[in-house]
Order: sequence, then structure tokens, then C-alpha cells
Amino acid sequence: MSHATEINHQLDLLRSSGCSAISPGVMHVAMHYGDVESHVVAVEQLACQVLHFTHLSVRAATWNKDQLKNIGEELTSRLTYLLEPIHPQELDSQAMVLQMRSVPPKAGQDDRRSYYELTARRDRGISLLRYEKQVGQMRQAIPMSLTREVIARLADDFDAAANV
Amino acid sequence: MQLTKIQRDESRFNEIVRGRIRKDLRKYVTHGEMMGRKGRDLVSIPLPQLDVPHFHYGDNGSGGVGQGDGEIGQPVGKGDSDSGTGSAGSDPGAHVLEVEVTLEELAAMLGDELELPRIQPKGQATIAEEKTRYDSIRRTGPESLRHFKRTYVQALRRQIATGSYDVIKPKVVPISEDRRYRSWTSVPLPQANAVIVYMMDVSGSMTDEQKEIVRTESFWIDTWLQSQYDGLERRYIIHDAAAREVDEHTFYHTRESGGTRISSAYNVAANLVRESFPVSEWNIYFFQFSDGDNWGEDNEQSLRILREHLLPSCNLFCYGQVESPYGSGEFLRCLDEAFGDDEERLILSEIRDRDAIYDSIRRFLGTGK
Repeated sequence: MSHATEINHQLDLLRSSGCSAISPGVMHVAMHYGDVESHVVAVEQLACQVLHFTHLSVRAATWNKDQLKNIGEELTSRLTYLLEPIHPQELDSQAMVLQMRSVPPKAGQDDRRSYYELTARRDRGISLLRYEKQVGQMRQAIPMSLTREVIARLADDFDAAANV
Repeated sequence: MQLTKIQRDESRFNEIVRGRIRKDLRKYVTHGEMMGRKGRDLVSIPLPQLDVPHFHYGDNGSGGVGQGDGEIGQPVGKGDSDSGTGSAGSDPGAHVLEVEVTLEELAAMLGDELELPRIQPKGQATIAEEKTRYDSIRRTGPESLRHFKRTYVQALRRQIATGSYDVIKPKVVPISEDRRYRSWTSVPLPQANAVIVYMMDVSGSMTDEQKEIVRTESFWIDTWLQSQYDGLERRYIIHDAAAREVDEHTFYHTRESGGTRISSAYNVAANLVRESFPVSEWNIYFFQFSDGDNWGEDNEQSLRILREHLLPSCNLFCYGQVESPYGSGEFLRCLDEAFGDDEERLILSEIRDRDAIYDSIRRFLGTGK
């Protein structure tokens, strides 16, 4: 069974069993170089909403600064289908963390801004979240609306980047 | 001394100009229009103004002498009017008058406008600056310091004493022994000294716009504190995951791609104060600017250094959180939770945009410390 098929299968299961923002379902799929995990809050036939999308890899335990840089470049070139260019923002060589964000953040109504934040961290792997910031308020994580096809591509791309 | 009419006019003009600056001070504070115009002691402020109205002449009477072939008796008329192809502009023209204002005046205006209290320097002013005073006379010295009056008095005395002075034909001729020269003594003057330590996060998440906000705010802080202290020193520290002391230009024009560790800047600041600015002799001010996106695990360490080393040594620790396009980070809230209102020396300010600079300055400097 391909990864895309497995992801679709798991999402179908979550759709039938039911999941919500209060009790998100967990999708877990084994990939070539690790596992992808996501907390799913809603599933439709074509798309779903997830709180985060994470790739956990054993290789992450040995990532160094150069590898994190390469992972950043690889992800920047691959994640074009999210429709917001994602670029490395900060690389902390002490904690071995690479932070990438949508550049620029997407502007919405009432001066709201939202953006993807992608973190590659040694010992943990690659994680994708989406934040929204309203005027005068702290930013907060919000669910990402992604098609099933995009979820499958993310899984493949994170898996490939983790092996750089 | 009676003022001439032109002096009265000039003085009135200056009053009007200064009134105009006061009126628009918020705009100048917010947009930093004089930032690039700072001289040694003066800043040049652009003031919009209107031109004095004047007459425009029409076509009447603008005919000249005709030229070319003509018949006898043919009248010489006006030529065809040439209306041209362009159309008149509809927007008013922008005329800018630049006015020079001293930094002291600017500080006074800022103080009046923001109702800033005068700063009470802490402790005794123990730093002494050597001040030179010309208050004595010597027999030797450079010719440039020769005291003519004393020299001639001395020559007169000598001539009277030796009987060579003729009252009928008074003539005083100094010789080399008569020469007297101005001389100085060095007087130690106590001074209230202050040091401002600026710290800025230059990690990848701080954009140029945020740095410009920091620059504008720093300019006004500088101007105010300079008006309050005789001796003011400035030190600049930048940091991402690591910190270092830099010069002013580097401070405002550096962008790094490292992560954010505020504790690194605190460490450098603490060392700087320990090595160069004894707490008993200096009024120490810390101004820190960041977007607040500190790496989570660093918050605890930052708070520890702040509590144990920086706050006990300073008059004020001001933290300005400049909002980035990605929103404000957690560090401001972290400081607020850790210290709340208990720590008088810690002033927190959230600077959402340029318009917030004005209130932020008032918050920082309104304590009178």
C-alpha cells in the first residue's frame, strides 16, 4: 500500500469514527525514514483540517547545523503547493533548531495575519503548524485546511527532507 | 540693550517656528523625520509652509514689434496666442522650510509635551571631570596668553618706581620682565554620569521596519537623557543566539539568521557593567528591544540574569517589544508574569507600530528615574 493510500485510509477511518476540535483524531503513518503524525479535527471527502503535521525520524537525533540548513533549502524548494513561500527565518546552532515561516505572512480581513511555521529540531523531527495573529492579540495556533492530496505530498516531502 | 526691529521680527519668527514644531511633535516623534539630519548639536527639522502669494501677469500688452513683409497701410496686430498642450496641475505644491533646533531645545519640547519629570540622579555624583579655569597670572607663558592690561600696569609700576615715568609726557614701554601671562588651574567638577546600554534582537524575525522603530525611539531616549546628564555614554549590544558589543552603525544595520537567545545579550550587558561602569558611580539604563520570540527554554535563564545582575545595578530596565509581521512573541508576557508591578525599575512597553512610539517613550521616561 502506498503512503498516499494509507493516509487516505486513515483519514476515512477518522471520518467515520468522528473527530472534532475538542477530541481530535490521530493519524499515524509509517514512512521510509520515519513516521508522520497529525492531530485531525475535521475530515471531508477531499480535504481535512489538522492542528499540526509532524514527521518523526530517528535520523533527527544526529542532525547538525549544515544538515538543518540543507533541510531548510530542500523544504523551501519542495513546499510550493502550500501557496505561501516558506523560507528559513532562524537557525539556532546551540539548540539545533531551524525555524521556517511563510514570507510574507498572509494578510486577511481586519488586519489579521496568518502564516505557516515549520520547525526542524534535532531529536524531534519536522513539524508544521499554522498561526493567526489578530490586531492587539497574541498569536495563536489555528487548524490548517489541507486537501488529502496535499497531506500525502507533505508526508513524502518531509520524509525526503529528513533524509537529506 | 534695545532690540532692533529685525531682531524682534526674527525672535517672533523663531517663536512661531518652535510653536509649530511643538504642535507637530507627535508626528516628528513617530516618523523620525529629522533622524538623518542630526548634526553635532543641532537637528534640522523640515516644516511645511506656504509661499507668499504674488502676481502673475496676463497677455495684455505683451505684443512686440512685427517682423517680415507687409503691405503699406496694413495694421500691426497681435500674433496668435500659443496656448500650449499641457494642463495645469491640481495639487498644491510642497514647500519645505528647514529649521535648525538644538538638541537641548528638542529635549525641552519633548519633556513639555510628554510631561516628563526631571530625572533625579541616584546617589552622589562621584565622577570628577577636570575643568580648566583661567584664574591666575604668571611671569612666563605663551605669547597668545599675554595679558596686555596686566603687562602695562606692571610696566607703569616699574617706571614710577624707577622714576622714569614722565607725567607731562606719559609713555609706558613694557620690557620683557613686565610681561604677564594668563594661567589656568584645573578644577575637578563633580558630574552626574549615565550610561545607556541598548540591546537589540537582530535575529531573522526582526525586519528592517522594526529596526527603524527602534532607531527612532532610541533617538528620542538619547535626546532626553542627554539633556538630563552632564556625561552620557552609550553602549550597543546586538544578539541572535549569541551576543556581542558593537558600534552604533552596526547596531542599526545588522541582520543575522540565528535563533533568539535573550540571555546572551543579558550576559554581555552584565559583564559590561561589571567591568566598566561601577554601580556606585554611574546611573545605568538598559533599553532592550526585541520581537519577543525568544526560544522557550531560554526564558528562565534570561529572567535569572535579569533578576540577579541587571535589575540590581540599574536605574531603569526598559523592555520594548516591537511587533513583527508575525505578531508579538511571549517574552513580554513572561516578564510581566515574573515581575508584575513589584519591580519599579522594570518598565515594559509593547510597540505595535510607529504610532505607538510616542506612548512608549512616555512610559519609559515618565518615571523620573
